[in-house]
Amino acid sequence: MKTFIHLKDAELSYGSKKVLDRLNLEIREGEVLAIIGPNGAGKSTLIDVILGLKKLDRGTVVRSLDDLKGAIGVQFQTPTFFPGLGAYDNVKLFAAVNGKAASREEIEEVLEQCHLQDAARTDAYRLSGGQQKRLAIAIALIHRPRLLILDEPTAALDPSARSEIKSMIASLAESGISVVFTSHDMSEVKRLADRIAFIMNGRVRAEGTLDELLASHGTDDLDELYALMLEKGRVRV
Amino acid sequence: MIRSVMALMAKSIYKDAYMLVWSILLPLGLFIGLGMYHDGASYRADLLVASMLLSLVMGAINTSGFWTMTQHRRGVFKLLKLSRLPISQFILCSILARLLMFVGIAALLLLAGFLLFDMRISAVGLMLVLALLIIGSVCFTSIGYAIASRARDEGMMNMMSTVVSFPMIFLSTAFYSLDQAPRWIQFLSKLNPFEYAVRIGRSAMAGAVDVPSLAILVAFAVVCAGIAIRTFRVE
Repeated sequence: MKTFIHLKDAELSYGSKKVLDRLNLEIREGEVLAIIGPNGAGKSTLIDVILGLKKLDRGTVVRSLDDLKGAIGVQFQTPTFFPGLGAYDNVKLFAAVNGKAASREEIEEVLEQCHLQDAARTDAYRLSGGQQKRLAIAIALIHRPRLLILDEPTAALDPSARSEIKSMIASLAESGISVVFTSHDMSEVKRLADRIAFIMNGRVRAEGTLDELLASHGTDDLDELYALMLEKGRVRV
Repeated sequence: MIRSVMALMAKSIYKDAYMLVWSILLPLGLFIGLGMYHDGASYRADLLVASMLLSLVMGAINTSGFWTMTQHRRGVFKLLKLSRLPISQFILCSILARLLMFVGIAALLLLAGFLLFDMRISAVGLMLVLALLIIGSVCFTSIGYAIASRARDEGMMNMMSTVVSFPMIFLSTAFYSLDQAPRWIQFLSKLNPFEYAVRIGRSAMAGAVDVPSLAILVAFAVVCAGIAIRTFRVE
């Protein structure tokens, strides 16, 4: 399996606070990687580093993607869109800034993929929280990226909206797009992830498939494993 | 690609309620309302320029500042940094989209002046007004961007943009003469880019070019654009 991005001994501090501390992580082609960990663990900073938005103090990021800008699609925690424009126009605008003159069919296809066809003309500002998250994912998908990065795609959503987004991520992964997502929802992680990386205090504390992680920590439940890792992390600190 | 970005940006900006109130309804209402009570041709010409520039400064500093800060908070600029379009080109598109609107509002005010008060402007005057709007857009929108880069939230943005834009208007001769004002106010008005925009606008209405004021406003525009570029942050 080809490695898209490889972080080696990544270190980054904000003032005296070390946010990433000798962090090692691989992002591989064709897999769904879940990054989990408590608030303030460094997940969003890690995403910024992966995207090249933040520079490391020490360590390296090796990217094997030929064209980073064209190859990655991102959904940030706060849905990104232009108020005053409908879902259709927002997707069209972000396609244009990515140098793609998206046809009507392409935009409608992405909107359908994200279950937004009925909201195509509704001002993005008036969409529900779930619809805004799906719009952010549609915007991330319009230039057909090979790697999709989703920062807490289901946070602050009701169960029905969460379920819709989970199904969407599953179908995107089935279509061959590599996905990296952060989450606090262990049921979502269990359902979607091929590999899980648990991050705490800026380090990867555990990494592997669900079965590998459960077996190595002698537990049969991800929630229990999460609690165990939190406890271990606190002891180490 | 750029044309498509600009057209969609314009569509997004024009639906902004702040823009509607501060840059369209307020200047138009002010010009028609005050123009009907004061029938001096010279006063109405000055009022037309003041209304035009009020629209420009409120749209460029306040509305554009709020818009930019909202985009910052939504992560739009982070996403743009990952796109193929350089952020500088995106900002240029937003300035041009707003400029089109300022030109439209100026045309509306000139039309109102012609229809209601029989005011005329020469072709040279029209070209000078257009030049004023272009230079003014760059200067005042840059100020809006610089403020938005510093503001942490809407409250701070509101305070900072008001603290900058209102003194600019009050420390100018847009709505009244400063001949009787204290010396320090007259001195401050000389450091005010809005005052030079007012002078250029008044000369333009008379079909003349105020070269020194034009040069000073261009200098202000260059400095303000430089500050906006230096202080611009993606997050």
